[in-house]
Amino acid sequence: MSFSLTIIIIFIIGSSWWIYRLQQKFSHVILHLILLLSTPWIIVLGLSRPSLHSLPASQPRLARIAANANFFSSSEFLFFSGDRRPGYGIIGHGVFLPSFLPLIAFGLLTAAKHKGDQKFIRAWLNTMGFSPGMNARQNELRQSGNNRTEDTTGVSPWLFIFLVRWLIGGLIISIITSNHPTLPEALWFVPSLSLLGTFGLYSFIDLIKKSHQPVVRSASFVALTWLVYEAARLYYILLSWQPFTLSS
Amino acid sequence: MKKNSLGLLLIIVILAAGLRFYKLGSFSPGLYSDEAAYGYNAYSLLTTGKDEYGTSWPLSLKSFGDYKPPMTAWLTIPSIIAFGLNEFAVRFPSALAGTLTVVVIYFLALELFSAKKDYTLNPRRYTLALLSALLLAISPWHLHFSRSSMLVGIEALFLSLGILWFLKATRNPFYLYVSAASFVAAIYTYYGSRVTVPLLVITLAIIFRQSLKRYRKEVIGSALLSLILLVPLGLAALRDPTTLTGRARTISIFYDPGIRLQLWQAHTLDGSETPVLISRFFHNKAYFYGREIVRRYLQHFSYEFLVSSGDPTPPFDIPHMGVIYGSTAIFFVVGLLWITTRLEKKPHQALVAYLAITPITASLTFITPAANRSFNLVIPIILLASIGLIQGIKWVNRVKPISWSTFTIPIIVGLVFFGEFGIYLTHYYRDIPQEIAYKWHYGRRELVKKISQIERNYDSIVFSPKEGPAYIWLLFYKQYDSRQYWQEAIIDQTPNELGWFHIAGFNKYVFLSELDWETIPKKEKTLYVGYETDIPDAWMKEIEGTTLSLNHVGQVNYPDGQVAFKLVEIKKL
Repeated sequence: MSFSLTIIIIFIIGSSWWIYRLQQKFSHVILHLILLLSTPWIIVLGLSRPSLHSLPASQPRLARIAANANFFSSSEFLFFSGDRRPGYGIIGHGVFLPSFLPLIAFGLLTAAKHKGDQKFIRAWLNTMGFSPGMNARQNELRQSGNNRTEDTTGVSPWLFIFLVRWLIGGLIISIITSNHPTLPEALWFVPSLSLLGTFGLYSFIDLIKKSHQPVVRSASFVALTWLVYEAARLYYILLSWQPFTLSS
Repeated sequence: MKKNSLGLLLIIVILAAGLRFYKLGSFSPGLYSDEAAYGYNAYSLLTTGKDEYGTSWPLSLKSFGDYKPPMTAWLTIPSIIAFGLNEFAVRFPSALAGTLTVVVIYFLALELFSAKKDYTLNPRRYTLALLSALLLAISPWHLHFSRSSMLVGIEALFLSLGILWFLKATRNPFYLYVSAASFVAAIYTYYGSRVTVPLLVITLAIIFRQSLKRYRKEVIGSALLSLILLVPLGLAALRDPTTLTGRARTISIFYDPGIRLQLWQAHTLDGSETPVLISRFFHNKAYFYGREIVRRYLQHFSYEFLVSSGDPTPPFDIPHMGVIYGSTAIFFVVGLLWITTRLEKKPHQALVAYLAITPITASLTFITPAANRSFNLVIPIILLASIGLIQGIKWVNRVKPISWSTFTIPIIVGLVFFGEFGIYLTHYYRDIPQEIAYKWHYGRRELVKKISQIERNYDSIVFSPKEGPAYIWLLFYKQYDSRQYWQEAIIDQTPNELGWFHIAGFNKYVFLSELDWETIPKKEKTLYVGYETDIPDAWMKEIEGTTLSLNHVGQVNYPDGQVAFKLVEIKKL
């Protein structure tokens, strides 16, 4: 079994188990799995099973860091082009479908909203290494039972902080350590976006259930239709164009 | 605080004015073709009441075929009266608008975080307003466009004023009329506003619908005022729809052959066995264009555009940097995170709407990311960065990881900003003239001066078509009489694939659509003006028993010493 397939299997099983522990609902795990199976980066690593070895560096360190920052933080890489090397991407697709954008944004917004600004920004600063007092504060809150307080998605806010830490920390690691901006080097932070997308989807569905405003319902319906259409299109392209057969 | 704040604002405004007016005529170097066109059309309107095509007070200047909005030309007229027809006069309205926008952002920040007790930033709102004004005063994006006559500097003033008055109108409905007038002024200034303003006004009306319900009479009155002010534009658009849309057709993504190529590629990859209906269901124009719009929209929030590289399109690029400072970007993210936690407050919703709506126009065009078309972004970005800066310093000072003074972090942040500002000034005043003077169409003033000295020796003067239409600098620098130009000009008004007209010549000046030295007719008593690569250094040929050779008459150099233009004539040996 290739290393990339092993990573994917571990991530799918681990994240599903984690989701189940958090939500205690199989329906949420199924939604999570459906979303993962509609995610280009998971499909690429699972079907194409490319080598995850780093390419040798060809630029000075500062130039590398600048190129990595441009690439990894770009919407082009995340949603539209991905890693263009054969076997590392699906033609015309990024590491996520563009319809994941509202899900990820919603996941982040939920984190920000339900956490309160102070804690959220402190967590962000803590991630950047500015606030060493944060862990003690978290422990205090945990001991006082605050971690049992759930937001509308049923997810503890501290988990969002963990995901945001993972995202920003992973992004910084990818930017600093990568020899070349490629998909394997982005694996430090890309999984956190997948999980944020999952939590965004829960929030979304929650909103559709609870909201009585026609505008919100219509917008949600459009976003979900967009997601379903793009997922169907992705599988159509995989079956019709067979991009990994072509690349091999 | 209020009293001190106004004093500090005055200092910031003086700094902003200094940065915008210092050597305005010389930096950016040269005079870009659009600036020259605005300058000459304003001059023509001033002297004859008609534009360069002889149209009386047009609501859209045909210019190069790009149908420019008229406001900038109107505002340039008083400037030409005061300073004459020169680079400084042309750029003066933009620089003034840029300085005034610094004042507007101060009041906008105060309005967004007004004195109501539920606004968390209220105790620091004067600090926030001053910071916003200061950050805008030294913003590379804002400085770059304030120091050139590129329309958007003036548009940003009118648009931000419109929003400011709108917010004020939630307390005093009279301001709705002023807001309407400001928004209409933005529409007359830049085509982008014809999309941005309606979207913004509708969004603001939805956000503040409760307040507006109380002022039904004023809402209807201000809407009527807008319609009345827009009647001339509507009538002009009925006669010629291009007045309303300008060059939108040729720069929109729907005109971009790249998307059609992607669609064709997708259908080809599907193969002939796939049913056409299925192929078209998954690969269709609606999806491809929608995806492209989203892609181009997001480019305006990318690290590459904002911090690292900026807009690569001439003349909007600042060498070696993006459109905002790295530190501004960090505080912008912090500010954005902060405000998303307080979106229930209506002014905050208005600020996020301002941020989200302004890049929409740019994302509908195929040259992105576009620093000019998304220029209005600079104001919400600066406001959010100021919030982020205040919050960031507040948090760090509260946590105090090591024992330091309360002023340590503000001093460090101030030094970082100061350093970045110094780097920007170096790029602007040293690198642009040395590295990309050609993008600013440098050398035309010197060229026209040189030609004016020797043109009596020639029957005709032939110009290369590269790097902008040469006719406009001749008209501008010679202050050519408009009436004479209307009689002499030979103009082909059939737009090319990019929508440009071709001005073939006037007086003894001939403007080629292509200059291929080997094939163009060589005549005596003709001066040929071309770029370094257009004309060879040495040339000799025997034609009908006569040997002709090339004689260098002069040249114009860029600031870095490279040859910009060659002036040559043909001599019989």
